[in-house]
Amino acid sequence: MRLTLEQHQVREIAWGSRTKLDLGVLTVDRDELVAELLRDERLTSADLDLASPGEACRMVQLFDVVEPRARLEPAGADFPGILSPVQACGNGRTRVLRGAAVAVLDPTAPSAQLGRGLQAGHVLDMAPEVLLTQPRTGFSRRLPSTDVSLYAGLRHVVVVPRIAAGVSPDGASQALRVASLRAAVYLAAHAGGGPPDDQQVLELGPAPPDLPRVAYVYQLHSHQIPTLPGEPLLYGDNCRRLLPTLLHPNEVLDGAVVRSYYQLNMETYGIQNNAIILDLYRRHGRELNFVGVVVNVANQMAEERERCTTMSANLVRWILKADGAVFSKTIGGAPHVDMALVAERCEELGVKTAMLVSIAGEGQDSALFNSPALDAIVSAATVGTVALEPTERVIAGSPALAEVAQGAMTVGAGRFVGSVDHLGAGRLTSARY
Amino acid sequence: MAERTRVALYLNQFFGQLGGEEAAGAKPRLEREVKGPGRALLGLLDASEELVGTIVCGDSYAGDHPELAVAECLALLRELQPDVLLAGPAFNAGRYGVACGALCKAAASELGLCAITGMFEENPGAELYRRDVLIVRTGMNAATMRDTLATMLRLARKQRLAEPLGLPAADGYLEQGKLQPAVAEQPAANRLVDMLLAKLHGQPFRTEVPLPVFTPPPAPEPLDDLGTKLVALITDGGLVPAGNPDGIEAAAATKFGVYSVAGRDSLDSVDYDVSHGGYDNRYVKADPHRLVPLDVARELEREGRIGRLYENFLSTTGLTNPVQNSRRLGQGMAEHLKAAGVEAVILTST
Amino acid sequence: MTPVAEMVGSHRIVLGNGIVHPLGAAEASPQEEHALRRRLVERALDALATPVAAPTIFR
Repeated sequence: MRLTLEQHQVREIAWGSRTKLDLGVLTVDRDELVAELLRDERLTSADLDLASPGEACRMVQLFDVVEPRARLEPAGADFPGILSPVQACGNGRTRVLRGAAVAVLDPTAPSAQLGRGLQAGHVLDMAPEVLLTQPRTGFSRRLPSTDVSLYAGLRHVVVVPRIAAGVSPDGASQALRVASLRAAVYLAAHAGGGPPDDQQVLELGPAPPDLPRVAYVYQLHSHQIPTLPGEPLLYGDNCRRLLPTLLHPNEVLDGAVVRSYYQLNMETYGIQNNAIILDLYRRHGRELNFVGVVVNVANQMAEERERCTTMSANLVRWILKADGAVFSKTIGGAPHVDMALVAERCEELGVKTAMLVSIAGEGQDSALFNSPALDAIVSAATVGTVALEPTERVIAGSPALAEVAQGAMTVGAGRFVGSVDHLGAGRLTSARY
Repeated sequence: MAERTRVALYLNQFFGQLGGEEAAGAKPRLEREVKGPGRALLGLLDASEELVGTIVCGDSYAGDHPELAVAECLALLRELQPDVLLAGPAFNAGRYGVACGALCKAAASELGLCAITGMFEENPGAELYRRDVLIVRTGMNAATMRDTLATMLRLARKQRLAEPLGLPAADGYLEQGKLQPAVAEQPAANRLVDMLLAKLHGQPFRTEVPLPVFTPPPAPEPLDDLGTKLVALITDGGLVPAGNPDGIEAAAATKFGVYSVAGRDSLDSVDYDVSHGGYDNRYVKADPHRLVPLDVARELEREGRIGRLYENFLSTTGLTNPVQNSRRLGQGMAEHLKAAGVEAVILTST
Repeated sequence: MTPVAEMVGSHRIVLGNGIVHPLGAAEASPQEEHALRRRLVERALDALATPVAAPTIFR
């Protein structure tokens, strides 16, 4: 499997009469983009907006962030099982608009209380700096927003889809999912055929036999919040009964996987740029032999958990014949335990492990596993909260919310979108003093 | 010239030159003369600092009468009026370490002193006091006395100037278990793969999240006659009365609620809510018995399988709850239940 | 999450029916669901009357 990512750098986004990318300027025909989104009859309209790095602009009620990408070869094979029929991906050529993103708001989604009964949910602020605080220890530090959120340095086309009356909550979520991906594909597909600024070829070629064989065990979702019928995670499947299976890393990067509807700290953008996969690729053939990806889910039932543990570890040890494995999880305690059980089983089978976790909250340890073999843990999250100053412009699902969300606001680090990426792209962490 | 910083020193009978084990029962006393490590300390003080006195106390006295010893030392400190207390360093001496930790904690909280000690990491005093007291990391014995005192003094100066501490490894103290936000050099993914490769190659690596260690309590004895016992229902799944009157947090709750089921045979879904962000609450909201099984507990009560059902259920939210906090909640619940005469508990957890 | 209960040293652990409804079964009939709940609570009572030395899961 060989995937060529043709990367075009986007330096500016503006509205215009025709969608095209020219000398780093992405011009977007808003009417055409809206028309594209309204192909979904569950939407009555879609509001569009732009947001740039450093702007006094804030988005609330964020649903997902997606990198604009379009399959060029084979053309149209985008997000199989969701936007296109189920088919292979990860092979061929894909256009990527680097530096750009589609940010989609969920005007129906409540999450964190904001006041006056309105709720801001997940927040992204484009201000050049934000204040990171840890009230428990008195820590307070002003940081560049780009250090705090993976998405603060991107140029966003912001989409607020309006759901038709009578659409069920499940249908509304699905419409948001489709709109997110459709907008991202539309932008990249219409960017034009100029030569890319850069090309990245992703292929697992032969590696010297003395290098350690390393697998990646990738937990796609935790069914403590069971996926809904029709909620796409993997080639359009909701993975409700997913047994551990093997993927080529290119499939993950090229649209086979999206995040569930409401999964904190794992945006589709982070999946398209899965930092663990990209780092294993970078070292493949030089420091290690990247032998493949085992995908699984965290389960609800004890029997499912045991099945997942047994099969995941067997795939790592006996099918991929790995010497070592790295692990990532989704947010929450149950996923933590399920990941650790697989890692522990791998260690029992002689496979060395390292795990990516997030320790946040109050800044003390929540105890979720206790095995001496699990001694290599990296923390991908930070403690504390992000304190935001009043902003000039808020993009929100309703004018009332936009007005309230304009003021100073404190957001838990996990709800500041892009501050935590469970796939390891971020540099924000917690240090132990 | 500004007033000089007044430094006091605390030493045990050995370092305070009272004697060996035979002098370990000595009560705290104030020495105006420079004793033992005080000489090394004098050489480290600058012109703005002065050593105002040394408190010497026997290790056994401090160990046998911990509260009294601390109170007597505090009285001597009030007399000395120091700004800074340097205790020890105690290296790997267990009783000495505990005494240093206890005094520093009290001197800071009661007298507002900048109080610093030094210990070997495995000194029992380190485990007891590292969270509350700044403890400089030392070797096992007094070979590094001068360096340790220099580090203690350096940290004292930092604290007096309200300068933030560096990382434990950089500033030479034992980690206090405080997590602070930080920006790492490398993305988490790169650190993850680095760590795995180090582990594979048998090279040293340092986990970013140390594992908690548990010592399970002894197993409670079985109950032989449940038909006579008062039984309570508890949950950490966040079931609360509609409107969540106690404001039980949806994650890492800091409190538990006590909710009456007196005279009721079942829980009506309209009367209850779920405050828990860690699972899909719809099923429990639709039927609270899926979390708190009042209906069958009442049946079993009527049938005599249990003596009586306690008139309240206790509820909190476990999600991402730190160990220390969970322990505190558990103790609070246990005290409540014991006071009510409850003899058996069924805890339902998501 | 029985692994967590075991790890922290709970001694008598009854395996529930999933995270979202440890004492329920959304897909079963009300009668079946009630019977399941009753079985689980009875199992908890049995566990309370059973001597154990280490964390034990009652299935």
